[in-house]
Amino acid sequence: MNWFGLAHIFSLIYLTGIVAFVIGLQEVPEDKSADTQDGAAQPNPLNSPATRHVLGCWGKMLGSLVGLGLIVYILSLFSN
Amino acid sequence: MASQPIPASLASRSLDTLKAWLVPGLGHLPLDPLYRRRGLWYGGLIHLTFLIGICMHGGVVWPNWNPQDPTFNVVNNLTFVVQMFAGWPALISLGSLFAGFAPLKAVEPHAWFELGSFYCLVAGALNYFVICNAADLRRKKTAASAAVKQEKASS
Repeated sequence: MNWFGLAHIFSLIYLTGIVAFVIGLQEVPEDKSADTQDGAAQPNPLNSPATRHVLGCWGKMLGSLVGLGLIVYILSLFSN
Repeated sequence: MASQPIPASLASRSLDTLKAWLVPGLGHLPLDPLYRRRGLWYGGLIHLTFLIGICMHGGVVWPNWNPQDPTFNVVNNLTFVVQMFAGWPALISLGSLFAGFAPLKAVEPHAWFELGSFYCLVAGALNYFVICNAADLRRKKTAASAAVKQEKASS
């Protein structure tokens, strides 16, 4: 098993994930609806604006890096 | 849970920033509950990332600061500065390097050293942003509480 290669793929996913989490979450303003009044339905944290923003950041970052890698790979096919 | 007003003196702000640097995520703890929760997440993730880096035999390495030296590389110096933003884990890693404490020190010849050190670099960079975010939120909170106090005094 190529553990070194797998570690790099894991790193790509993990590191972009935490960067998206930390930086992306700072861009989302305080969600007052998280502290709801008594009796009101609790908002779904998996569908909150913060979660959607962080997942969007993660997707964009991962997509950009994978796309860039693909372009470099395609260009490398034409090198001598 | 109501949060306490935050003192705005330069000394207290500097101390808060120092604490936020030393322990990642600590700068968010005196803030509102939402930001406190976020601070715990930030701190946990930064510690975890640095720990993964250490487990991969990475860590903080003292660079060569002499530009005349052939082994001088400015990238290493910048990497060192950013890694040091990780706070106490970076200090422990650097201390282990100087003390020769094998379980925690960076092992440069190891194949995983570069990848591990990159984890430590990301942890340091993230803590820099977390420190700035905490300082920003603290300043906003201080301004808001001062405005409320002024409003009360005028009415």
